[in-house]
Amino acid sequence: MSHVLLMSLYAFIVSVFFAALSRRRRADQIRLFWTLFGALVGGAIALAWLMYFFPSGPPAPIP
Amino acid sequence: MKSKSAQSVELPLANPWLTMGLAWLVPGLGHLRLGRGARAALFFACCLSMLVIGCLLEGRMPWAFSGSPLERLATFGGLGLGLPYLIARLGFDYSGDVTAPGYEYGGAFIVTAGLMNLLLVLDVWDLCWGKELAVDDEPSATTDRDEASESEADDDSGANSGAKEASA
Repeated sequence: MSHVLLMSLYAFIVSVFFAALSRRRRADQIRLFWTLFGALVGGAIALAWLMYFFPSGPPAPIP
Repeated sequence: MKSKSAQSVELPLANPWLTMGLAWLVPGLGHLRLGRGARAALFFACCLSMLVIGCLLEGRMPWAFSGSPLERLATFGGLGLGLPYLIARLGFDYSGDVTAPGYEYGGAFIVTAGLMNLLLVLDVWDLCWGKELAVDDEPSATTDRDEASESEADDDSGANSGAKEASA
């Protein structure tokens, strides 16, 4: 599986868990789920794009 | 009107230590014992799916009781999953494959499952004492459960003390 798919799967399960744990009404749970899921996936993609400005460069030599 | 003893002494709805132990042993079992079957099933599915995905990725399953503090911390987090973790680690001798591409990624799934179950254990403790972590986005709106709990509070603590005696 790709890293993006795994990250989305991770975000999905964690969001479902916290939405069910910290909200009582179904509508509030769904709202919190989308907030958490969007923050996790969107935040990760935003960070990935930010890393464009910090290239890793050539690999370090093996001592 | 509440009696003086009911105001000064808080009584648990169920035996908190036993319920916490059950909640740690099997994810969701504490909530099931407190009559929250649907939530229990959801929590069980969340925790177990995290563990299964982590194992399918051949992720790291920490098992260190000495050495690096971070490794011990990861072990503590993983052990939070309770029986499923112990069965996988001791029963199936699973420890992950360090050469697998998903070794670290799968390890994150496994440790997160344990940490989620530790949160469930804490939630069960609160629920035993009549508190609830779950809230409404709009506190002013009164739900059926609020009305029910208010009516129970008005009825003094007779049922609560009965539960305390039963758990004792």
